[in-house]
Amino acid sequence: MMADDIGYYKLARETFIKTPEQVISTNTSVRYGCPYDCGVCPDHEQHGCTLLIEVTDNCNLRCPTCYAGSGPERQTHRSMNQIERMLDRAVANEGEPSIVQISGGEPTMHPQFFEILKLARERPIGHLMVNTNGVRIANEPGFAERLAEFAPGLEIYLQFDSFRAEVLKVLRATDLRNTHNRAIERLNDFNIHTTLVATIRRGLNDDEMGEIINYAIQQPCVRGVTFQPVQAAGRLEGYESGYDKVRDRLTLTEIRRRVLEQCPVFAPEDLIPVPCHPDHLAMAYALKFESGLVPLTGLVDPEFLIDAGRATITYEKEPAIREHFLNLFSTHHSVASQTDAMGAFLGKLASSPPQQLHYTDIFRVLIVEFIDAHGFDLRSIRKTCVHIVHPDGKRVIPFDTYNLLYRDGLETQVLEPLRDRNIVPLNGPISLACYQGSGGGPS
Amino acid sequence: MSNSGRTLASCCAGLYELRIVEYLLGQSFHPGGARLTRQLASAALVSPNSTVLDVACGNGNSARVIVADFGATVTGCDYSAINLKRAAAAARTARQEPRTHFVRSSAEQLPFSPESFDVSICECSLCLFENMGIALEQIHRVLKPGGRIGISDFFLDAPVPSSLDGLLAQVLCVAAAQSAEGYREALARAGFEYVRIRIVNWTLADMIQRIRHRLNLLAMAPSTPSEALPADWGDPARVLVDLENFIAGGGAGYLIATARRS
Repeated sequence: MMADDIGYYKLARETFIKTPEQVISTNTSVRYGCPYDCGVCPDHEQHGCTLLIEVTDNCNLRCPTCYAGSGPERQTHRSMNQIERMLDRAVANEGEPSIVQISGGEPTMHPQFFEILKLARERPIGHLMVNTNGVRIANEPGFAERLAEFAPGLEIYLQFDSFRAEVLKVLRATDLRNTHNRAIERLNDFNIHTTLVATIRRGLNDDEMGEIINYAIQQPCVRGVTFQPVQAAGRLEGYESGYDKVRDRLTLTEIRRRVLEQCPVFAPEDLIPVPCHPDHLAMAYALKFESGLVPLTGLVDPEFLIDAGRATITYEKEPAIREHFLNLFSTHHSVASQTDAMGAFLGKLASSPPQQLHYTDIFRVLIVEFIDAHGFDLRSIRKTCVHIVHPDGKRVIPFDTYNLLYRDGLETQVLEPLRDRNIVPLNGPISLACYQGSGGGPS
Repeated sequence: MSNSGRTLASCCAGLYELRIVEYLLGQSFHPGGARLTRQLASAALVSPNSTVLDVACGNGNSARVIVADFGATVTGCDYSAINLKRAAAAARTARQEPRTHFVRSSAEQLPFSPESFDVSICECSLCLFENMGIALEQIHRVLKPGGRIGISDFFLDAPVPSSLDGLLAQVLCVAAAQSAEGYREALARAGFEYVRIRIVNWTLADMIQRIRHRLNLLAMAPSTPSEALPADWGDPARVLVDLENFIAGGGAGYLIATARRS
């Protein structure tokens, strides 16, 4: 199943379509056919709006759910030389990459973590993100302070899956509640822009999304929340008799409906496809007030979102769009025709506009569904815009296919045989997890 | 105890008896048709797991659309036994029997236990119920906590101009229409929260275009139909222009509203 909401899926496939943008330079040629030539190969239809640089395989947690299969037992850190080559590859492909995310493993475990941030800062990178579990931010005095030296323009992508100990033990093998609280406290102290990232597993924490949003809007440092259904890739432990696609899989439309159910301030028209990769990314923007959220996306004409700005996953970072969001409140033309609460609210604002609205008032809810073997769609794969820079510094590979075919040993163990046998993706296993007999693989 | 079904029937059925009206409007007075039903069901978060109550379900068209496109289970209720018979027959033809149920009842006395449904819709009929407040309270009662209501209806925000009196009052049934704000207040009074109203005047524009198109065809016909237009409709082409202007000026329109049962 690709989606369980026909109307929304049609909207994504037929309305919210932005003309794709290509990378400046491709890195591979088309030889075996998609998805065996990543990348970026000339067949790929979207530039990378978010490029991940994985600086280490090491992690201070060993999460049962980890697409990268990281852990304390893995000791390999990328050398500074190699990391520079990876950063340079990002710049060569994109010119000025919109977002570079320092990731891993747990990137803060790299012995030269802050030097890596400096290397990134020396390059023409729009926004720098750090993808972290927050353990060092929470536990190490002075760590957040050092991060703050890179703010503004630095955003923490903070793992934050649940408020329940038993859930965290299933997903992360550890009760991280105190870690979460302390990390957020530190990030609030220095007001370092933060996005909470929740990995959502069906039947486990898919009832907590409203609560996570409500918590997020209370935290001054938090700019938004990202929900990601588990991608069936890498390490998938803690499933009774293995990952089962019927029992355990969640699609974007199912996550979206739960968000709407649990966070009733958002109506369906507020949580819309992201036009650069509409069937796998959904977004809602809202203004954050002390009294709560006022949704914005439903007020914006789809054509504006499709035409304005670059293809990007974080629309609020595009100056034209940010301006537009904020201007909705001062120059909204159809105040009279808005008969709902929003209309009244807009009317009130129009008569006495707040002193200043800025970036920090915009709150973002994002749903990111990475493609795995169970919903594999080549058309969609070619539009993916979250890419991982290969440690070889020569290739940039979609997150989705990287975790299924290219990461670590997958390239020789899974990809090579497929290339040799010219296997059609859906007729054969394309994730290592399937070989290991963890169940649920395509049959 | 009043019964809404009868009110509804007396309003529209008389008009349906005029063949000319049926010719101009088609089979249904419900603006927006299946397209609006889909929009309403989406806005009310209907999912494959939903149990849906369609209040004043008529001949079951919407129930069929919701079962077919959303995979939900739908119970339709209506006061008209003839409507229900047609609805049940159509559901059989569409092989939707296990997912559809039809029950004869008035909206002001729904024969269901409290907290029975995830979603309730009520299309183009709320303003015709004799007591809209009681109908909304009944819907509130049979919805589960967190359940959603979705209504579609006419709204009237200005006095009807005299040139439109005849047509509007009869065909578009707006005599009893609330103001857009009136629906919001009625929903809130019945205990609903997060009321969201969307103006969907495209439904009326479509309807007017369809009538205009058919009037043009009528004018091209070699002989005048035996039944002339009702005298109090005036010049139909002119009335349609007046109607468009009235809607464009915000005097009236069509809306859908959704809300959540707390």
